[in-house]
Amino acid sequence: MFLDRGQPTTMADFRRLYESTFPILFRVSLRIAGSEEAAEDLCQEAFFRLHEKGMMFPNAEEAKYWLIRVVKNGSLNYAKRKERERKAYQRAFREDHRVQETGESVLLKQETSREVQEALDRLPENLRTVLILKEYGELNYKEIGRALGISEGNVKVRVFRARERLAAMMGKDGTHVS
Amino acid sequence: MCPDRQLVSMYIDGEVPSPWKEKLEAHLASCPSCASRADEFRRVSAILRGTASEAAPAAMENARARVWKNLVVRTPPPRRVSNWSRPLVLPIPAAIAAVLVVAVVAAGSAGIAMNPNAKSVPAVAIQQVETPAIPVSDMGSVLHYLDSQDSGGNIVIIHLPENSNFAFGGEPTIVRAADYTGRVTR
Repeated sequence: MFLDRGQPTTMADFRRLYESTFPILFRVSLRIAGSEEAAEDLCQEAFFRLHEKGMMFPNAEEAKYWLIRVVKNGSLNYAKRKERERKAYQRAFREDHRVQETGESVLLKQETSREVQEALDRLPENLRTVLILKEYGELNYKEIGRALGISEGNVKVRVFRARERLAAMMGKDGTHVS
Repeated sequence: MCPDRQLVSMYIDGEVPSPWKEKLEAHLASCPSCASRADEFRRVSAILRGTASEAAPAAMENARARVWKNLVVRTPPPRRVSNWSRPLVLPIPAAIAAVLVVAVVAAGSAGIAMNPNAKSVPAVAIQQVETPAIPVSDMGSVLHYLDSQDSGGNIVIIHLPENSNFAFGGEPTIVRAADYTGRVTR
């Protein structure tokens, strides 16, 4: 990987980028892919690609946005593949599509959080991704815009619409308690 | 009049700059409708972040350590740019001189290769048996030497090459010579 006018990065630079970016990538990937193992693999793959391809970036921030984009796309693909797989198995076993509830989910707090998670999953991808980067990646609007290649104004609108829809869904599901 | 609801969403993300931020705060304090909207957004945010912080820290720490270990094993230390991949920059006279030298050397070696009588580097090395120089005047010694040559029986030791670095000009020279002869006879 190269930063700043073609100067090769040192191992220390790479480590710094890794330490500051890994938590963001892992949280975002975990939320989208829904599996710690998958999130770990996806993050590793992104860093490895960065290194292997000799990517050039003007600065460490741009490298971070590239990593976020790669992990986000990889995680979305993983989630779609898993969903297709799940549906295929369900058809094969002629199962009801409702997820089996565990004993733990009787707790109200967990119930609410599960329903919000499901509501988030029902959002269209363009709204969902922006909100995930906001809430799990803890990035600001500008950073989200850079990572996704959209304008800051577009990020504002999408975060707002995503929140409005979640709030509406929570209200409709009866999980919203004032 | 209430501000756009989008501003409330931006506000809880800390994305409203200073003079407007204070104005909005003042409005939220006096408008229950907007205040409840802000609470709603905050709750959505808190739930999403809450679920992340419940599951993530331990798993993430383990993953972070494991992935770093794998990366260090899988990736060599950052590569320096190889001298071969750098563009070669030469002043024009030097470049012309270099081209001429290459052309002369190439023409010379091609000439040798095309000539079937030219000595070429043998693909096998024949060991020269060292014989002491014998003065012709000493006839007895000369006869003795010739006797030893007869009885010793023309033993020539041929060493096959010990490695596979065959010298250019062995087999290819023969092939080229044949090619050359062919063209001459035509």
